[in-house]
Formats: sequence, C-alpha cells, structure tokens
Amino acid sequence: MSFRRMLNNKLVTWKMSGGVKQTLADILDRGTRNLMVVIGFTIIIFMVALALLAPVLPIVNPTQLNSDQATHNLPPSLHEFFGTDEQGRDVFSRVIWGARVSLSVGTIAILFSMTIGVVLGLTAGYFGGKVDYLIAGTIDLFWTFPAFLLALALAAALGASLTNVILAISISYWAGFARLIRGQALTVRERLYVEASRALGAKNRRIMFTHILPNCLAPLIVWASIGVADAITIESSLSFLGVGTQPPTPSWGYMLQRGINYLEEAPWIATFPGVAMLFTILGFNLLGDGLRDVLDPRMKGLRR
Amino acid sequence: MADLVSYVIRKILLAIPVVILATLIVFLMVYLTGDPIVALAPPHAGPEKLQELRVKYGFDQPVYVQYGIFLWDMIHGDLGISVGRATLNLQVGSLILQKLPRTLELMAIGLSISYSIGIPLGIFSALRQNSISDRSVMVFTLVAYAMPSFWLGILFMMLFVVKLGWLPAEGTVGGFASIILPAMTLGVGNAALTTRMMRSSMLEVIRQDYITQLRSRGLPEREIIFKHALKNAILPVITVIGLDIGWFVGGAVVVETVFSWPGIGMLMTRAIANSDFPLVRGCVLILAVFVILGNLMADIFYAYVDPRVRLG
Amino acid sequence: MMLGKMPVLEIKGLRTQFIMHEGTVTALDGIDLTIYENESVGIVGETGCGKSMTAYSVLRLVPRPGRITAGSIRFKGVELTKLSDEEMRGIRGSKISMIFQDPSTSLDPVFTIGQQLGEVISLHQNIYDEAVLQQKELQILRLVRIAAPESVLRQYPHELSGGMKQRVMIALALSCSPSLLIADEPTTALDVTIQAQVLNLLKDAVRKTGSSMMLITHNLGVVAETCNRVCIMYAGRIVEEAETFALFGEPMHPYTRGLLTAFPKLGEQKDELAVIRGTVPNLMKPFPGCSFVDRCDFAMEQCKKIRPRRLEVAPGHFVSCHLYPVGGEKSDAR
Repeated sequence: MSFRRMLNNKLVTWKMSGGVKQTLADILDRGTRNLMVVIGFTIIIFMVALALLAPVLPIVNPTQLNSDQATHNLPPSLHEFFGTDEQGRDVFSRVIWGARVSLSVGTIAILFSMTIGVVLGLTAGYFGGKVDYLIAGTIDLFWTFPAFLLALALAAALGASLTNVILAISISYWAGFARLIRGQALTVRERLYVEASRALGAKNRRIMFTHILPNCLAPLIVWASIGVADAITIESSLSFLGVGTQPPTPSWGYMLQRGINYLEEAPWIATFPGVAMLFTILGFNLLGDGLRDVLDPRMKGLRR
Repeated sequence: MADLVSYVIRKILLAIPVVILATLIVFLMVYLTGDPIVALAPPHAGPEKLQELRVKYGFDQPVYVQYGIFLWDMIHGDLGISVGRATLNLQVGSLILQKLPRTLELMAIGLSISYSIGIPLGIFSALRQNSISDRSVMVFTLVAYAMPSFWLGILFMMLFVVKLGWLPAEGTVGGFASIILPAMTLGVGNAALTTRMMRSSMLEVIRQDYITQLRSRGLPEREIIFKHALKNAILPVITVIGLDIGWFVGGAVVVETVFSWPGIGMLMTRAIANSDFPLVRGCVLILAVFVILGNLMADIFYAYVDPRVRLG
Repeated sequence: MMLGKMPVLEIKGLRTQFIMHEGTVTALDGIDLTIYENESVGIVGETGCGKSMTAYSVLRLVPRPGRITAGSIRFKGVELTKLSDEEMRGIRGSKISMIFQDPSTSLDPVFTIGQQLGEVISLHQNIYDEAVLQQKELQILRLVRIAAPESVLRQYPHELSGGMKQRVMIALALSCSPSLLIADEPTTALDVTIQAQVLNLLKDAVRKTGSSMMLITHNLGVVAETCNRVCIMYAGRIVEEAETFALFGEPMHPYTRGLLTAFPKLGEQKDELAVIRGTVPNLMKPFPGCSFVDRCDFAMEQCKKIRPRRLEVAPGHFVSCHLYPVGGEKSDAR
C-alpha cells in the first residue's frame, strides 16, 4: 500500500469527525500534495532531530576552549568536519548545538507570541465594543512597528541573555497572531449560528472553541511556521549584534559575528553556521508558504 | 484634490499620538534596566554625581513629571548625554544628527536597488507565469528572503572583498565603492519581497474583467500591460513601502555593523556594546520616529496614486 | 433570408474548444448565426451554454487555453479568423464592440471616465486635439443620457452608481459607431428598477448609431423587449432561431418550450415553478446525438445517435430537432 493510500484511509475517518479534526485532516491531505510543504517539512524534521539529539550525538563538546594555538582556525578535515574556530572549538559541533539554541528560541518565542496573540485576539473579537477598540489599537501599533527593532530595543534594555531574547521576540511578534484571531472571531461573531447557539444556552467558551478556533487553525499554522523562521532570523541577528545569546552558549549569530574577522584565513567559521541558518529558515518558510498556497491563496495579501 | 488634502491632514493627525506613544515606550524602557539612574550615569559615577543626575532627570519626582521633563528636553533637542567610553559627555542629539545622513543615504540607495530589481522582475515573472523563468525567479526570492541580512552581507563580503578584491570591507573609506556593498545587501534582500509582491499583484490584476474589457476596445497589448495593468498592480506594492521602511531600518542596523558603515545602526551597536543607555535610547527613538514618518509618507503617496483610498 | 438587408455578421460552423490536460471541452460546437444591418439578435441560454463564448470568439478574445478550432466568422465580408492580431485590434472597439456583464469590474478603477473614453476615441479615430476629443466625449455621454457629462468626465468609476457605470460602458462601446455591438448580460448585475431604463437606452442608442446588436442574456423578458430575432442556445449549440414573436408564439424545440413554461407569467396561478429536469451535459464528453436528449420529454431513439440538422421549419424559423424531420422542408446546408 502506498503512503498516499495509507494516509487517505486514516484521513477519511478524521474528516467525518468535524471541527478541529476535520481541519487537520484537510491540512494534511492537501499539504502532503504540495512540494514546498513536503520539502520544508523534511528540512524541519531533520534540523529538529539534530537539535534534539545533540547531547547524545558523538560530537565534541562545543564549548571546550582550547588554548593550544595550533588547534585554532583549522580547516575542515576528517576529524573536524567543519574545521575549528578561533578558540579551537569544533565548528561542526557548534553548528549542531547552535541548531538547538536557534530552534528552541524560535519555537518557544513563537509559542509565547501565539498565546498572547490568541488570547488578546479572542478577547477583542469576542467582547467587541470598547475592549475591542483598545486591543485593536494596540495591535495596530505593534503591527506597524518592525519586530526586529522592537526586539533589539528590548534586548538592549533588558540585557543580553537567552531568556531575554525569547521575551523580546515574543513581545514584538504577537500582533500578527492577534490580528488573525481577532479577524476570525469578529467574523464568527456575526454569524447566525453563534446567536443560535447562545439562544440554546451554550457556554461562551464553547462557542469560541468550536466555532472560532477550527477556522483559524490553518492560517495559524501558516503564520506560526513563518513566525519561527522570523524568530530564528531575529535571534541570530540579535546574537550577531551582541545582545542575544551570550558565549559560551553556541549561537549561529554569534559565530558569524566572530567569523567576520577571519573571512580570509578561516572562512569556514562563518560559512557553515550561515548555511545551517539559511537551511533552517528556508525550511520553515517553505512549509509556511506552501501551506498558505495550499490552504488559502487569498492569504497572500497578508503581510508579504 | 480636496479629498487628498483632507486625507493627508487626517493621516498626520493620526500619526501624532503614535509618535507620542513611541516616546512613552522609549521613556519607560529605562525602567527595564534595573536601577534607571545607573543606566543613565557615566561609569564609575560617585554618589554626588548620581544625586545630581537624579535631580536633573527628575527621578525624585513622580513618573509623569519625569515623562514631562523627558518630552520637554526632547522637543528642545536634548536627548541626554552619552555615557559611552569614546563619546563621554557628548550630546546624544548631536551624535545622532551627525550619523543620520549616512543611514539615510544607505537606505535611499538600498530602496532604489530593491525597487529597480523587484518591480521589473515581478512583472517579468507574472507575464511568464509557470514558465521556467518564472520558477527560477520564485526560487531566487525564496532563498533571498530566507537569508538574514547580515549573512547576505557576509556573503557579499566574501565574494567581492575577499575573493575578488574589488571592494573595500570598511565603509569608512568613503565614496561609491564603500556604499555599494551595504546598499546592495539591503537592496537585494528587500528585492525578494518586492518581486513577490509585484508578481502576485500583477497576476491578480491581469485576471480582472477590466483588462479583458480594454482588450475588447482594441487597445494594444503593450499599452494594456504597461499603462493600465501596471498602474493598478503597483498599488499594493506601494502600500508595502511602509512595511519596507520598517524592514530597512532594522536591516540598516545590522548591515551597518557588518560593513562598519558610520550610520545610526553602527552608532547603536557600539552604544549597546558600551552600555551607553542614553545613546541607545536616543537611537531607538529616532528610528521609531523614522519608521512612523516613513509609513505616513507611504500612506500619502498611496492616496495620491489611488483615488479610492482617499475616502478611507 | 431577410430581403434587402446586408449581413453584418455571418458565423458558420464555429467551433471553440479548450484543450487541457484533463481533456477537451467543446464550448461551441458548430454555431451558425447571421446578424443583419440594423437588427438586434438575442442569444438566450442557461449559464454555461456558450453564449459568452460566442461573443469572445467573434472578437477573438477567447481566453487560453481556448481556441477557435473550426468554422468561419465573416464580418461585412471579411473573414475574421484569418486576420492578424493588429488587424483584429483595429476592429475591436471601433467596428465591433462589447459590453460586459458587471459594470463595477469592467472599468479601470484608476483612470477617470474621460481618460478612458478619450483613449478609445483617439486610438480609433486618430484624434489627438484635446478640445475635439472632449467634444466627442461629451457627445457620446449625452447619447447615453448622462446628465452633467462634464463632471462625469472627471470622475472615477467608483464614484458612479451601477446604472451610471453601465451607461458609461455603453458610451465606450458606441463611441466609434460600431457596426456591431455585443452586449453580454448588460442588465443582469443591475437593480431591477434600473434595468428597464438601461435597456431602453440601449435600444435607443443602438438605433441612433445605426449599429446591430447581439444581446446575450438568460432572461427571456429582456429579449422580448429589445430583440428582433432570438437564438436559443444549449450546450454549445443553437437549437432554435426565429423572430421574437414567432418564437414566443410557437416555440418548436422542446428546450425552448421548457424555458417558456418555466418562466412564470403575470396573472398565472402556479403552485410550483416548472423546471426542466436534469442538468447540463458535461462538455468534455463528446456526444454524437442531440445534446438535449437526457432532459427531453420527447426523446426518440435517433436522438441519441444522430445529431439533428438545422432546418427552416417556417419562414425565418430554424430548429435543430428530430421532431421536425428532413424532407419536404427547406433545409439549410451545414
């Protein structure tokens, strides 16, 4: 039985359950037919696996400094696949551990953002009136302001550390999610069957979850995917500027910052983390874009 | 025309509270840093100095008075005193003013590069939808978009400075040679966005009824595409200029650091490294105002081009 | 044969198809149609029967991947299917024009009415003098009974109402006094109250410019109001053609009869609306017989196998149906 057929069998039952399960089934069905989605997803799984497995992989300690000058700036070899950096650390190992940092920062920051955004968006959309006006104004403010700049300002003020970076990104990025949810909530609010539900005495929360969330699921996933890509970019940029993850924690951005000084003698210090970064970001972008094409081409107007 | 004027006035009035809000946020930032007075004081300042600054900035007063002092100073051009090593006791305002033109230069050239590549490429791609050229362009935009600006900058550096030796690495050398790399980094990165936007907009427009109508009137295809379709398709692209400016400001900070370009971005990075909070704060404020102004101008330009918007 | 009148448009055996991966859709399957000077011919049919495609084919604006694959379209003696793109462009908008269904999406939103009118007039009449151009623009706007045409010239499409926009469309189409005006559902998107106005205007304007009109609609009422002759289309073929009153008085094809009974009439008592059972056939599957066979109450064996020929059953009244057998009647060679 081909993969396609196995998948279809599973999905058929899901599709009949309605609500969230049906939306998920739809996403899976259409997503797996799209090349961008498949490639993006593969890349992501690969990087996530690397990141998760980092501690158990047979690689050198990435933070091990080596005072022996001879081990500094060595080109890639059988022993050190990506060479060593200016402190004698194994670049290959650092790239893999860096994946861990970037991916965790990216996903956690986006999860926070999403939570803030969803909560605020639901509140605004559901209650309407003054509450909505206030929240909508705040959303607009944060939306027009470039996330990177805000994150930079916050990170600079709070001081450089991993947690501060996550915090900074979360605060800068929530507006997109909020906008999405609020839009959906407002639409659903106007729909008759919510009135009907309420007439039947259904609880507010239930209305919100059964009617609003399933519709938002698809765009949420798209946004989240693109969001992680953006978050990784922001984290790397912040680390590059010195306000992100601090040494000795390996971070791609930081590695690139150091690498600039050795572009001539040891270009591998900057190249490999850069490629890894590009690869990962591309993966998330592909997934997000692909899903967006598949699920709702009209969404193309959003932001990009 | 009258509707345009009223639109402009409305937009300006709307922008003012946003600017004020930005100043408020910037003002409050100092409280994130722990003891605010330490952040604003030069390093190794003694208790008398600290007390002196407390009075100057009004820290012994309630918060709203402090904010008032902050705004008052700001309107008079006083953004504080730098506490960084190299720039100790210099006016933040004048430091920023010195470097601002360099950043503006960079952004202007970057924007031009982005639009001169992005718009034609987007149109080209749209007219040849799904052909090989179209698909290659799409792949290019995907990859270029996924590249963080600083890495693109580093790549360009590796190529043009190290490998080919054509251009200098430092922006301080001056002249066309030193601005071209950072501008290209910004420009090419943003061109990816512009191309995509232009392409999808163009595709959307070509499908419209009025395009077929125009054909039925016997207009030559060239005129239909470049006079009618283009004018309609470029509108959504223009709305993105506002967002683009935001992107450029953020990108400028990073790219200036990569190429040591002496603009506000470089200034800000150095200030962060030196824990020069007043300077950081000043930079953030200027950049924020810049973004807001940029959005405003983009909105106005858009209303000028598309009359339907003036009602909004 | 209409005596003493010259044919403006002669379509013979027109076939337009869409060739795609999944198969070939035959939108028009051998259309024969003639329009004479100073007359209005209605083309009636359900959505998807190919009426609009006939219009697009005449103007050679069939969207890709569609193509005209067979047949001839003669406009005042000129074979349109053999013209070059440039020659065709010379005809569009000046000798044959078209009005589209939805006026709100048919005008370029970022140009004023004056600019769009001026564009067409200067293109086809080679007038570049501003003053002369404006005179002509005002003239045509007055023809479509727009009050205060000077201010309309300066306005943008979104500033006008639906009815006004449709008048502008008519003005645009008639600005160069075309010999043939094709109107594709000109009143469908309008309010009922405006429909009558615009129809009258259309009839009047066409008469004044001496143009013939091909009026495409699904509404028999509109046809009754405006057309001298009517063609009934079904699934890409013309099944009946007659003078309006002859058609309404004595519909011959079962489909026509179905259409007329489905249309509720004033004063009639009806509990249920009559429907024609079934749905339109899939145009991707070629069928040898009559396309209406599955929905026809009078279907016979031969209807499934042999395509009925177009026969003149009464003077000026043509039908394609096996109910009217060949032999004894005047038949038109296909």
